[in-house]
Amino acid sequence: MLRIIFISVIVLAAGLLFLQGRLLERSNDKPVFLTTDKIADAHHTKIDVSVQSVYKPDSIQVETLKKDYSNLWAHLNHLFATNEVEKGKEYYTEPWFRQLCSHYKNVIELTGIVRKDVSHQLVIQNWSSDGLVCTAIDSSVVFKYTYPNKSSSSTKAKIAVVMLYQGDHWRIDAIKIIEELPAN
Amino acid sequence: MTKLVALILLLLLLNACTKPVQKPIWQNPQSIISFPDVQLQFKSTTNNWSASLVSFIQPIQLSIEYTSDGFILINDNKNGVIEGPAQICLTSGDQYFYYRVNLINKEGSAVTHKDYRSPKTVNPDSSLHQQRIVHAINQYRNLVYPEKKLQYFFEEDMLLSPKAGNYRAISSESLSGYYVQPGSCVNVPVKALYNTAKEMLEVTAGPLKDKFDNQVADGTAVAFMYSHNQATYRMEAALLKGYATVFIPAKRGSTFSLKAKVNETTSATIQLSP
Repeated sequence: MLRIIFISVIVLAAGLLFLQGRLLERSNDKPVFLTTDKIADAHHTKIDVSVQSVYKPDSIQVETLKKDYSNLWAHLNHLFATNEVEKGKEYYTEPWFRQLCSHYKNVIELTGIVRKDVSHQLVIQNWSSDGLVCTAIDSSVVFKYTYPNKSSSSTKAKIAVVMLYQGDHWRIDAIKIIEELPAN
Repeated sequence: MTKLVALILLLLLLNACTKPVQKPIWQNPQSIISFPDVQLQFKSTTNNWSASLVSFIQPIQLSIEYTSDGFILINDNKNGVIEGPAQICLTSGDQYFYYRVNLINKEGSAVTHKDYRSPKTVNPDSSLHQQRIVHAINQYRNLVYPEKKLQYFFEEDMLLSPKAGNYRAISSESLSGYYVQPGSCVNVPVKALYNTAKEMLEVTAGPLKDKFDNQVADGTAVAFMYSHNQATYRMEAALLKGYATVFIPAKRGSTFSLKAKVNETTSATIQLSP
């Protein structure tokens, strides 16, 4: 009898431990430094940066900004085509990400439009002396839109953008599409 | 076998005869759509549509209500959008139709003024200059013009008040805080009292203030150097609320020569005779 009670207690304890283990939330997200950003890696664009700010960034800071700005547009184009908000979260500030999520129900694969940013003319307007805030006007962005019937069109846009350096990246915080006109 | 081939050919022929989907006619066309009140009427004989509003940033799913002669696109999401050029996308099977529009938010949303300061900590010993970058954002992350300025971004160099303290660029935002530190002291007043019962000299340096009358930071080390019987001694104490105190054992009738030092500032030498 005692043996049965003893075994029952052990089985009960083992079962409890097993269930507790299953209840633990496990995140499948790898740390950023272990992940490969395939969307950003597959993206290529031409970015010319000019500096009009009072405080000037050094060459290394400009290169970092160019790389992150290119990656940001890779994700903005992907978002534009799919509404897959999570993919580019490394390049979004928290309020920006919240705004995107407020329009997220599911991934959309039916818009059929693919956007490619061909080139940028990024003019830095303000650069904080601590290197954490950058405001810029992308004065002549050339976009190419491709439609499901294989037709395409090009536009030239002027965009104001605010970026904040958070974590390991420049992240977009706010935007204004000043104009977008058909390109010749 | 012949029958089977004929059947396949007939099916292929029927498939080829399927009418292509006609582009729906937008019955209340508008070049500007005010979000979130989207209600767009289309005339169409087909009733297997899916619709989205492709904003400059992301596509937004729209609901469809079919009517006797077409359908109405409705937006269920009451949150605002990132404004700009957009396209209404209608899909039926493998047919896609697009309608260009401009997307704006219907009502003026809450505008937040951003005021970034750099550096966040300023010391009057070096410089009271601070960089200020200003812009305004509405709650849906659209940049808006700050009041009375026809540019999205504004920057200025500010000369801060030398009064030490914690400040906020925007009073309601703790993250906009910055700090004016007290500077170095300019004068070291020293006084001493003799405690007869304990046979101790209680030596106090203070109040220590910088050139702008700010109390020197707590924790600043104050060195007391004194000579007695041809020997030299050194004691240290940390500043608290402008004062630092040390206790020196002293017999009545002995004599001491003492001075206090804070970084490069030294007090006058005082003679103590308990």
